[in-house]
Amino acid sequence: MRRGGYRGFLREFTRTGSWRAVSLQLRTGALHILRSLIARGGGDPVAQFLAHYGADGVRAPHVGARALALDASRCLACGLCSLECARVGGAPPLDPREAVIAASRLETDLLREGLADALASAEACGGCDACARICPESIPIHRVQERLATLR
Amino acid sequence: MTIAVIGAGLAGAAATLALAEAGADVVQIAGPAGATALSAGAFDVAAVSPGVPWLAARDALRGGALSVLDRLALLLREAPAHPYARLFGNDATAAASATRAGVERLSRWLAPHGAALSGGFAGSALLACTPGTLRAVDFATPGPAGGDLAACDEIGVLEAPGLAGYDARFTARGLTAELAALGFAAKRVRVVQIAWPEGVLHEQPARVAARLDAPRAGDALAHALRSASGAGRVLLCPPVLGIARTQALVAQLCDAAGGAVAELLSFPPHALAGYRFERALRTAVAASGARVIAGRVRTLRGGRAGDAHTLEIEALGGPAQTLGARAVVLATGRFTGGGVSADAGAVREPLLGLALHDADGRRIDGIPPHRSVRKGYASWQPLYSAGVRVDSALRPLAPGGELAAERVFCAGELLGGFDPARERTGMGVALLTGLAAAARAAEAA
Repeated sequence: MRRGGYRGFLREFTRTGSWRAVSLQLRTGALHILRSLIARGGGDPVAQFLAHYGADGVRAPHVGARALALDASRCLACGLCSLECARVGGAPPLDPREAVIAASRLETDLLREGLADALASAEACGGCDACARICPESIPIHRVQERLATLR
Repeated sequence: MTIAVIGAGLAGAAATLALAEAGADVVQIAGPAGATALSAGAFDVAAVSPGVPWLAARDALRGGALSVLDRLALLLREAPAHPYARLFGNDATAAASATRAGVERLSRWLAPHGAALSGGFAGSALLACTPGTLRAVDFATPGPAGGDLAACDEIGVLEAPGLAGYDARFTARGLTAELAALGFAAKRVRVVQIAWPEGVLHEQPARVAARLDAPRAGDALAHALRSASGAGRVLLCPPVLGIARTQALVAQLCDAAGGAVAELLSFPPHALAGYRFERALRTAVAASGARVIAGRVRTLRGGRAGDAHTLEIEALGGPAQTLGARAVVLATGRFTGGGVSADAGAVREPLLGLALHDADGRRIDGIPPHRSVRKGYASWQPLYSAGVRVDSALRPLAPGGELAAERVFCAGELLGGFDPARERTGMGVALLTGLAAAARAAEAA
């Protein structure tokens, strides 16, 4: 249950109706506001929040993931980068879309679907930048790939 | 005097090619891909009139296909805000002959690069799309061009096991239903199985298309198609028939199969035919002698009284450049191309801050895009007809109706007053206004 993080937790709840999921939602929602009103003292509120609920599988997004996700979230999923990559003869497992799509999911989905494929694809990339030149949204695809690799 | 063309889609390319052919000193500023590269690689001059959706498809199927001239006459009557009406008034004959001349010119420019258009002026061809739907089109690029279903009763859909996002049975079922619904019960659709050459499939479509560019893979596919031969039949293939040498490959496959072979029309994220069309345009422009700067125009200034325009260009992979131009063709597109932007909470034209109007004449720049969207999937959406209003010389108009710029000429989707997806006139508008803007810019320079 904890492996999937908060989203995985909620997903499991919708499948099984788990009371642990309901209680986590209550505690991190309304009850947390009460708790923070009662509690005094300073400190980083995010750190406090994570200290309370980390054991329940709640995690903060990776540092750096936000900038990456902002760049990648402009993606229209038009597929032109894949076509351009195939035309200029990119390495076989390479699909520039995967890195962009994985990066745009980092923030919203802690499960990080497709991250392994995207990393394999980024590794195969020679960095010719043909995909970024054709991208209608001018997403710096190679830079997204490089930054994605640092999150490994 | 220098003429700058901003945009590398169909409108920008047509303007650049026309100016280069006329011997003008033309510089094209070519940004990233836009709507042309995401098109189906099929070309409508005036497929559907605003009030009469799917008219052309039904008409083509009934065998009494309306000619391009008839449809243009209908459009000019029903859509007074349409760019065609700006160019030709109510004169459908002038519009039809300009269309004929324009398509012939474009085909002549594209033929050396393996991308000549086929089609006609008598009526539409009825082409099939990958989801099993039908579309009436006037002209098509070499990949899908041969797949006119109106012309034959035996239709084969080629199976391609392992090709991502493609299912021949699904396509065939859809086509059967659509053809029956339009009264074509006699047409038979079946799935055709062949032994695909080894090591071609089981990949994403872009890779498969790149593999089929290799002559050996093309020969092997042609060999496999011999078993599927059948004269008088059309064989529809998944849209993977090569990237660089499609025309030659399709001709080879037609020979082998002894009948027509064509690609199905495709959509993003796999709009291969549109991508090839856009690449052919760029190749033709590069071969035309026009100067091309890869990059985006950041600012466009000047042009008052007799002054030249000054363009500040952010070049790709190079230093920023400044370009002086006596006249400018503005073919920056709409939302995909970046000619109209809906970022930062408001609709606007980013380069000159031009006023934008929808087809009903309401001004919609400076307000949030959601205010110009209506509920309902099939509803008329004012936002999709957003664009610049122009005079009969294609010069942009300010809100009060006076000229906003004297020697700037707008072309393509940047022009307002029509919804390219609904009226299916996007490519026709891009071509005709691109050519017209080039002619006006040459006069002004």
